Parts: sequence; structure tokens; C-alpha cells
Amino acid sequence: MNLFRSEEHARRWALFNSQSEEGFISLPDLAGFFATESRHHMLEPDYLSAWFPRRGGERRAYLERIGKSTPFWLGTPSPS
Amino acid sequence: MIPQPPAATPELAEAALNCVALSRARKLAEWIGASRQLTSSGVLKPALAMEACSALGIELPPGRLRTALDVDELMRDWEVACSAGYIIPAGSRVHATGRLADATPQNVLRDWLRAASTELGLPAEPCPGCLTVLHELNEADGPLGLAHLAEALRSAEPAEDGDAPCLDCGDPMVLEMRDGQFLTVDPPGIVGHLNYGFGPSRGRPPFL
Repeated sequence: MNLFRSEEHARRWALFNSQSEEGFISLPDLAGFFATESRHHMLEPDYLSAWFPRRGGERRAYLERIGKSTPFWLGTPSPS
Repeated sequence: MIPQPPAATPELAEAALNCVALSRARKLAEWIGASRQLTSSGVLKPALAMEACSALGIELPPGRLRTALDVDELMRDWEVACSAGYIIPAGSRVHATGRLADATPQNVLRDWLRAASTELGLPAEPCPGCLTVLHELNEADGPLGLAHLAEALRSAEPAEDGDAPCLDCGDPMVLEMRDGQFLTVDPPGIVGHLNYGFGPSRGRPPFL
């Protein structure tokens, strides 16, 4: 995930992937993506055992909630 | 980390200057001045080491001084002076730097922090979080839990901020957050962008 001054800047970036048009995400949505429940417990002793396993599901649910439910966001096939 | 105002107060800078280790390191650097000769081991030649000890009020070990390395007190001052950036040994000479004369609170505290970090075995540029944790551990009467340390970090850092260049144009972007809310977004149009979708393709190319 990268940040740009605007969508136009991202598209002008020399390494911009032309197939990533749906890869834009607003800052509030991005902040929410990195603030799901398990993220609030990263310093707790049981984070790896109790919270980390929930992270994948949380991410998926969050992305679906903000309308990013395409394979690009929820999982892409192997590039091979 | 370079301490920034308002944290870099004159009072803190004065306390740093009065710290025995830094004060002695400054005195050694002043004595070294423009240039002094070093041995092949990179320390003061014995005769010069004796002069330095005299200037610093260090009692010499009995007998003939074979090397400055035998004077622990002098070597401690030497290490602090190097860490703080007050002296630079280079080849067969060592010289004092202009930092001695730079007495702004920000720079004095930066010098103190670098010296203290070396002493504690921390990275050269410890982050504010590291320093907060060390402070909490030092103040505590007993073991502290991670929850306590996390709360201390949260309280000590009023806002998370980031300052990074745009990958396209290199112009700066500034984000400042507190409790999940954006306090500063400059420029206002900043967006996130995922260049390759999630899933097995992540990491190919390796920079993403």
C-alpha cells in the first residue's frame, strides 16, 4: 500500500500498475482497514494466539463493508 | 531522533549540560581542540593521555602509563565525547567538532541523547517510543506489563504523524492522527493505492 498526493499522482507514478485502477482507497477507509479489532491488541501477551488468527476474517469483512469485495481486494490468484 | 521544540526546552538542555558524563566529555573535547595525535590503536598517545587526565582531574594508575586504554575513566569520557559527536578520531589524529560551540537546546539534547543511547546500547537514533519505555521501566518499582507500557506510549505521544514524500513527485505529504481521527492531511487529496491485489501475487514484484 502506498500513499500519493492524489489519484493523478498515483497514475503518473512510473511503476503504476495499469491494472490497479480499483486499487485506490480513501484515507478514512484506509485508517479503518488498519484499525480493526485485532489491531488494538497487538501489544497484549496473547496477541499471536488469540488475536492474530482473527485478522484475516476481520480484513475481509471490513473490505466487504466498504464495498471492496472484488478479487483484487479479497484475494487474487497466483501470478504464475 | 532530533528533539524538537517544545520538548527541547532550555531547562532540559541545561540539565543535559550539567550531566557529569556530558560535562566531562565536553571538557575532554575542549582539551583536544584542533588536533591531537593518536596511537595505531586509535587512542591518545600515553604522554597526551597523561595531559588529558591532568586536565580532567583523573588520577593516573600507579607506575608508567603504557596506553590510554589502561585509564578507564578517561576512556569513558572519550567514548561519550565520540558518541555525542564532540570529537572525531580520524586516522592518526583526533579533533574537536563545532558541536561544542552549538549550545541551542535542540542540539545539546541531541548530543546528550546520542551519548546516552550509545551507553545503553540503543540504536543511534532511538525513537520516542523506545525512550518512553525506558523511562517507564526506570521509574517503576517492579515489573511492568505490556498494557501499562502501551498506555504510557499512548499518553506520551499526543498524535501519530507521518511525513513522507509522494512516490510520483517527491513533494511532502503530512498525516497526523489521534485516536483514529485525522488531525492533519496535507495536501487534502492524499489517497492510498494498492498497486497489486491481495493474495498470492503479493510480493511480486518484491517491492510491494
